[in-house]
Amino acid sequence: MSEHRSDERANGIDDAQHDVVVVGAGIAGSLVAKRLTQAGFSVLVLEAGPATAAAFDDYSNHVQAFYAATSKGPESAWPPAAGVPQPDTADIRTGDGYFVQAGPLPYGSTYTRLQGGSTLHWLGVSLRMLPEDFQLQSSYGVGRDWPLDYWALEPFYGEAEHEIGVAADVVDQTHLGLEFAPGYDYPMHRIPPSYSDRLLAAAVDGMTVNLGEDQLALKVRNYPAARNSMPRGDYRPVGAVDQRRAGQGDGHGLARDLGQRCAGNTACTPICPIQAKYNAGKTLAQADGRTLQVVAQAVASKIQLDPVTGEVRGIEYQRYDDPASARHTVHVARGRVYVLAAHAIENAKLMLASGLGSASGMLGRNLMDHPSIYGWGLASHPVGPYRGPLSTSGIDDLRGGPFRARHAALRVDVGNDGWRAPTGAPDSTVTDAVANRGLFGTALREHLRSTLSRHVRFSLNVEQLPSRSNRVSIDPRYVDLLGNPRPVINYDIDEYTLAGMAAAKRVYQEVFRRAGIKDCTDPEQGVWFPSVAYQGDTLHYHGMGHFAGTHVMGNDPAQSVVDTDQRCWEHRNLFLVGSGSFPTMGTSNPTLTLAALALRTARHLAKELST
Amino acid sequence: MTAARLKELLAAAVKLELATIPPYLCALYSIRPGSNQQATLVLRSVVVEEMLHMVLAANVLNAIGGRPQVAGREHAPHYPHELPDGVILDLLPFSPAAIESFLQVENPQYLPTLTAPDSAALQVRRPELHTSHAVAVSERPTTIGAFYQEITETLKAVAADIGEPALFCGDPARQIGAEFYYAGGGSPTRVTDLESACRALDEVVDQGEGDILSPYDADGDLAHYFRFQQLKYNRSYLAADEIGTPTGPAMGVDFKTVYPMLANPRTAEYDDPDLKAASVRANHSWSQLLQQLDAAFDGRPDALLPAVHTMFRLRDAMLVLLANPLPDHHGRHAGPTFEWQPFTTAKAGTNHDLSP
Amino acid sequence: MTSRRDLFIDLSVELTGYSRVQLLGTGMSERYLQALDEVLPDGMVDEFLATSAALPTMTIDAILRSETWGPVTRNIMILWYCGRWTALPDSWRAVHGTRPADSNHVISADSYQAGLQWVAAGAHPAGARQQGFGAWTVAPEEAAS
Repeated sequence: MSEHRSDERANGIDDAQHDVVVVGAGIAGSLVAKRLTQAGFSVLVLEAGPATAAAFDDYSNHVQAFYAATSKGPESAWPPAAGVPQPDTADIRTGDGYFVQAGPLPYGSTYTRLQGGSTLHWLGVSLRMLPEDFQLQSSYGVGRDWPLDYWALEPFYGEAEHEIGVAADVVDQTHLGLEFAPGYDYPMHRIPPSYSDRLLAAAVDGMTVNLGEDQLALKVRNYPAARNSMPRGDYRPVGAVDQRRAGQGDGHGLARDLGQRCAGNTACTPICPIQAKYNAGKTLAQADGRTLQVVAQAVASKIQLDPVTGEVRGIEYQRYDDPASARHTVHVARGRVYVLAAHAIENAKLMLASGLGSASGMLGRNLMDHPSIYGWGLASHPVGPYRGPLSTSGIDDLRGGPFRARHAALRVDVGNDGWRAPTGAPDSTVTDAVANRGLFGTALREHLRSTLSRHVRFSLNVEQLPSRSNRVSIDPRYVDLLGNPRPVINYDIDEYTLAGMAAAKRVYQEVFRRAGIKDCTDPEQGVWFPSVAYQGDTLHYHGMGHFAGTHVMGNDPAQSVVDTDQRCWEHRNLFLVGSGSFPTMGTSNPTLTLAALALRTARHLAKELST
Repeated sequence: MTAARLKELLAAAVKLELATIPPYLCALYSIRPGSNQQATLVLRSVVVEEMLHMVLAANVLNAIGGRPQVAGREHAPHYPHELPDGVILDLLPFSPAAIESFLQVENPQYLPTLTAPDSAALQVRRPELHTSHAVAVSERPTTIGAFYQEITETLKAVAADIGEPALFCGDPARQIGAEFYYAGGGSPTRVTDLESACRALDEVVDQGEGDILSPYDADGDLAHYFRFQQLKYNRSYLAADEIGTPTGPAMGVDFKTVYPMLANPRTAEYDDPDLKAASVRANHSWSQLLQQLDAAFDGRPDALLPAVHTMFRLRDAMLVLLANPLPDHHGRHAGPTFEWQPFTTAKAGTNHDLSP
Repeated sequence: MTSRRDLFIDLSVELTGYSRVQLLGTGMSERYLQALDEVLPDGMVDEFLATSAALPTMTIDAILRSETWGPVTRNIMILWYCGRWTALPDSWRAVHGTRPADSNHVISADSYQAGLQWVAAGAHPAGARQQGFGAWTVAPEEAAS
């Protein structure tokens, strides 16, 4: 990596011409960079944040930061640079973070602005969207249809699963209409289900719940996950990335052996210490270094247009040397084609800040998430929580079906991390035992043994439909240290999703009853999360980090921002990739689908650039 | 030159590679948390490669119809442990003495008569001495390099004599492949013929001890001997450095931030009943680990998965011992004793079904 | 003469339910004693250790009821189990004063990993002391016993 090349150039002198300029070294940008460099094209990647996750010694510092952090939230291992602020879970309550929360409800999700992006702290679940998710409007009369169907994306799902390394068995995944190409299987065998998954499955499999008029049978199923497991065939799991900076020693292969298999560190979020879980740095490290240039600490700030052709002729960026300082120099990156892969929010923000993409009126709109409900309880016997990947199984049966005409679909994520996320356990359990229960000595030890080992946590992720009024916009009153706009977020949860959240609450209560799990859910005693009133109840919801919809894809330029290749309708050489392109999101986490879309766009670009 | 001689040599090789692991573990886990980060990485990298070497040697032995054995009092290593080149493996904390002994272990040409016999000056506490199985089967004294060379040459000779199919008659299902061995150091070679056998053994010598004239192995990684030189000189090697004079950045070696473990300790020396119990627990894990390895080498490769869990339980038990000072030993701390002490044979290897 | 550390460990055995070997085995005893020295006013740690040396005449219950020693003692339990210090209550500070170190904080990256809560749960500290591929598929160790 030649991070310091810009030092050789005086301010205002343009960079060399590249075939492709990519903004953002997260999963989408890294996949595009890998594919196009391998096809022989020169690619410049601008990354707003530092590249510390790419060097093993620096990565270790992130791990140490997590150990020592007082609050161990998703961002605890990944502090941002001064000029590149990022949303933080802790800011949702105070409302004064990077996001300007314009209401009526707080938007509950966050992301990371470092090289590697939010894959540095994602859970790793890699679900495909259901075939019916692509045709929500025509099937159920709600939301929007995608301009692509499942089968148009299916080959790219398979490609994405191999690029990021997904562990699963097809035989576990063929339900709710999901089909796979004949003979296909995932690159690695499934991650073994946890002890508690098995106990839960034994108690729950076959029970039914009613959603409206639909009666649905439940089954605990293994989750596909981008974590290294037993390889299938010739697949070689990809472990830790160790791209040390020049003069720092070559690493002597010391980190190379790490992370070739998930070792159960129980910290997928905030940080997998051995990188057995996929992060985008792995993909970027596989790009062809001969034609790849990555410039970290380079914040894209404005897209320049050719006034005659309407095409993009450059992207201005602010390069800083000291992550603690706002001092920077301004440069322009030039290419034949420009790919914004900076995140759903950041893509829209950059477009808005450049005064682009306004024709359809859709830019920044249709912002979605999976507003989610926690349920936590005590099993009757030890189930072995606080071990293993944070989640290895879920209940998928409520992701699809006719009930979607009436309310949102949902997915039950079964945790292996006890009450950590909703209550701050095990620390909060210790504090409660000592301060409230007055326990000490062997009674304290026995109480903790008996309770901690029985902690069960569900997270019920609820679908949210696109809405024009849920949006990101900018306002000249709100800027960051570099003078770039902060995202202003308008967010609400509609009746369709609220009804789904209420159903989710009912479902977990029924499952707990069936499994003999004592419901201990008490949002007033847990970690603070935003809440919304619904039919006399108060629903506390947390974001899943699943941003989508800010530059929606479609067939009609009047109703969408990008076409099916993720090309901006208004600017022929500008592509906006990522979950911002999703017309709807269903109940799967967006990463695998956005990776598949990015690979599809990369294939198109490779063809287009060759002609 | 017979298959029987080959099996004898390879059985000793498996045990030899196994025997190197506990001394590295003692050094690794005696480092106090937060210090000696580079040294920790070096030791960890060497340990996982020694584990790979053991698996490779076992694969070769299984390929010719042998039966690697590591469990049981007669097969488990005992310390201090003498290798055929005269090197004595001790259980020591991370220390100059330990580094010197690692340099000897990792020097394939080492013979006390040929190189400076520093070990005598180490004055390590050695209440008793055990000899490696490799000593018994070797023509003494022999270098480790010569030991492996004899194996390779005998393989070739016997293959030429009786034919490859007759020599490599082992059940391929007994081979350990990448699905079950993942700790690092690369993937294990499945051995089915002379070519793969030689490749497996070359990797043991090349990656492990390396060519003493070239610091880097075929993968471009620094060979073990030179990794330990970096610790000895507290200086990392740069690509252009002369052998013996690394000039790169300091390695951050600090022998003071280490639990000063008693050399070659015995459970019987621990008077505190809780401490004795902790040592017994550690030995239960060690013995269970050997039983699981033994099963993995005897047609159940999937037993390697629970063996890894056991290894990490052993690590946790070691850490408790190492942090405990011994009142009657002048500030020395307890440490793992690596004594053969199985819990019960009934429990080993059960309760670890990973199949769906 | 019993050393400060021995007094601290003896008391901590009573407070945590873990043996001397297990507490020393965390490797954190000196660091926790140092943390107490940093947080409490001069001389107060020794006074506290002297009080606890009166065990078992002086019961843990009595110590926990003490307005002076109760909050400190509860914090020591949390220290051993979680590796973190919890700011003392305002009422305590009003009487005994405040030191800068008396804030909610994790003592160190190591203390986080050394927390006994993970042992009690039959688990391991999140992000450290990994258990190996598939270890999560079997019944938990201590908790099942």
